[in-house]
Amino acid sequence: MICPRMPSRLFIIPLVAALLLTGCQKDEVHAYRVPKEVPPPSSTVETAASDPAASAQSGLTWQAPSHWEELPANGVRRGSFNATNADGDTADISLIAFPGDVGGLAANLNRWRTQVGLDPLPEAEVQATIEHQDTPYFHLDFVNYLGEADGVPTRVAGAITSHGGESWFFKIIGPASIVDAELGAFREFLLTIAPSR
Amino acid sequence: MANSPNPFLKFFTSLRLTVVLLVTSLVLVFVATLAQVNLGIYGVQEMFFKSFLVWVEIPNLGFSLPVFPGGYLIGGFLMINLVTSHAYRFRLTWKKAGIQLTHFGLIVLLVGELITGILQEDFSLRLEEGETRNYSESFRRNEIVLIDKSDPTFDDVVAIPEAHLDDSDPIQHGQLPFRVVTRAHYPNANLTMLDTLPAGTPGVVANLSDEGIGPRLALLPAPFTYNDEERNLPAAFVELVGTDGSLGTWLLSPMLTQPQTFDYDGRTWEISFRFEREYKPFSLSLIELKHDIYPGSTIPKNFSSLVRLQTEDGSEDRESLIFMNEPLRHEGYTFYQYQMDSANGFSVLQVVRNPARSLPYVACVLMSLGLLWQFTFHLTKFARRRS
Repeated sequence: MICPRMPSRLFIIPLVAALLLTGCQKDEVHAYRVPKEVPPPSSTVETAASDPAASAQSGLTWQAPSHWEELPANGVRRGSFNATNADGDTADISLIAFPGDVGGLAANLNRWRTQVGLDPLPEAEVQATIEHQDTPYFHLDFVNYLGEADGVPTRVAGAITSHGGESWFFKIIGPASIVDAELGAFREFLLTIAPSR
Repeated sequence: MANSPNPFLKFFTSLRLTVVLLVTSLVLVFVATLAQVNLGIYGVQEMFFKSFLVWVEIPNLGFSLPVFPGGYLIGGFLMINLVTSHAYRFRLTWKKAGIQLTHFGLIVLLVGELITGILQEDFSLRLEEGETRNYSESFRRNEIVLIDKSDPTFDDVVAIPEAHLDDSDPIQHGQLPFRVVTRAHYPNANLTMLDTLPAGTPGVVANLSDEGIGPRLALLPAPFTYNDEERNLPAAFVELVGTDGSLGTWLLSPMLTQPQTFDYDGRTWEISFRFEREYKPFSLSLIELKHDIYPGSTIPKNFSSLVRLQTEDGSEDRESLIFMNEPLRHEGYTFYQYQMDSANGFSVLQVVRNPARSLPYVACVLMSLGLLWQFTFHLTKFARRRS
């Protein structure tokens, strides 16, 4: 390979410059003052649910089936329920909100798949598992995955939508026996989700 | 070419250097193209092109070594080579004027790319209908913020870019009455409620937090993604240490939508890990968004956002309709229609600031004029000779 000879003492100049410039790219810790933020119109302050049948938290309301046991909400979990059958199998129903798109739809659905022992799918394939559902207020991306956890057939079903600058995840997960029995109630429940007034 | 007694000039005006640099850049582009399979476009740009040296991590040794010149180094040398050759060989004659102009256009192009690579900023601005914001958020970078909420009108923010979380020394800042110590940092991680996690779930790391919501969460590190369609969501265990000792350790992540608050020395503070923000001296409000479809189909025809722009000093207050290929431009920023969810009433704008955005156009005009001049000059000369 043809290579021009460079005077040795000159070679150091661009090399040092390159190393110095490479090291200058980290942003510094900085301080500033901003006016207090006004929350978007549809956001409301998070409060603990007091009525098991109708919750109004952080911009959404919903009507949960009466046989679901309501659990306390917390920072990310805006709503939480348990459904239990006669055999003692329990399904966990959660309503969770995170800011932004939380890594994208495919990443979130693959996260659910791994929770029931299924392998993540490529973007196009995971998109094909989505059932698109329109409720009176939202368009939901609904999925239903059957896998296995601890040797027990386990199902996760859930829907994802965006509201108030956040991604909302409505999910039921547990042994397939109880989730299969509660799936109808869960889908009815999804239809009741509405923006709070 | 006249022989130069100066070795510096001789080296940088060498045509062989040009050839070596062009071959090196070819190799760089080839390797980067292959690497794009695993790293994605952004990762490849950062590692191969927006760098002076290509660093490769040595497996099991925990450090990196430079293995190849990066885009900035090759481009920089090419530019020096071009400029010095240009200056050294420059002869102001009509015969060579076209070539000189073409090369000058190439220099402008290289300088423009360098400025773009260093100074271009790319953010997103997500607005709900009726919402007003005076900041945009980074697509990739994150920051830890400590906000003094004590003032009823203003928030005093200290922002710590995520890159500092890997520093071994505690982070100190004049506006913070405590030090920030990173106990653990995960560039990408999932969070889930601890009580919903089956016992013995693999991959859960030790929870170091003892304040805020952290103790109720489980943290599962995830592989760093280079997929252009995905975003890494980092997490960190951060301890605050005041003059009297530790204030506690918090688990922070952009996934935690509710900021965590605490009181210290009579002031109320908020701590969170969020997408890096850039505040602007003006605000945008989303008045109305539209998602038009072709009649009788669901095929999108047009996405548009009607926004209101207001400057802080009140000098400007106007409405603007942003739609495909019709961005809003203001104070060096360009707002493009990026994403939209009309069903849920929000629009996402891409916010780009590129001080050198006009330079590629200038370069193309210069090179076109140079080539046009050169060909016309020779054609005229040839035609005269024939006649």
